[in-house]
Amino acid sequence: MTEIFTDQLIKKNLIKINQHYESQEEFFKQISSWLQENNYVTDTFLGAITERERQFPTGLHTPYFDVAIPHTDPKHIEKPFIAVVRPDSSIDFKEMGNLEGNTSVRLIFVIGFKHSENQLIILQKLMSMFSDQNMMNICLNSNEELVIYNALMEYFD
Amino acid sequence: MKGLNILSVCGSGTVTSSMIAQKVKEILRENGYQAKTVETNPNGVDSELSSGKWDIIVHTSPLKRKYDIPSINAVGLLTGMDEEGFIEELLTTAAKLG
Repeated sequence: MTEIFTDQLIKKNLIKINQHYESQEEFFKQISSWLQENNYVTDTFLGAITERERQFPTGLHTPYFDVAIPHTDPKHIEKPFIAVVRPDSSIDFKEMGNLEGNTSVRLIFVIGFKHSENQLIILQKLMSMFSDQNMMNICLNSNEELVIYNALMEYFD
Repeated sequence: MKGLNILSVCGSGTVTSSMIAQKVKEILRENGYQAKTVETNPNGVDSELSSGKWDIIVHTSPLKRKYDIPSINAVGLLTGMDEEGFIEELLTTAAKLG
């Protein structure tokens, strides 16, 4: 398995804040379109991520606010990435592992991994970040992509 | 060290199940268990169970049915919302397996 480093997965232009999405559907359409144009994903990504979210929702209640970690199979991914999106208003996602539950998501991590990465460490870091008040505060409230980017790069190292 | 075989289940069998598996291994190691973990999706559980010996299932997506071995919802571990609750349930379950 080849190693993958954080600076290959998280880039400044993969952090999108304060954009408006009317719904989860619109969010997936817009992000998929951008990812495809920038050669991160194939044209099958939109259908796959929408369907996957429908079957296995990824909304999560963290101690601070709701997040989502949508992702799909490696075959729809061209280049691995983690996109960090903070919409200007919360988007409804269904809750992971709970067929009845709903979440009002303020922060979305779109995770695009291919099989060959050693993604475990990064995923674990992401998991522990959900409990880190300082990091969650920066992601939620900072108005500059660069500030969020620098914080993430430092945290993941 | 007591050995335990843990099956970690999530929707894709890759992302969240690997996040969980590693944490579960650490928690168990700190408590005197040597855990082996394998990740799969809900559709893969039956074939894993029939081809190997598993002690506990940990999962972040709903399982297809009830199995003969204990299963524990691990979403609280993933988000940090209920890590203690999950750890307690995991250790109690492991202890009962004797």
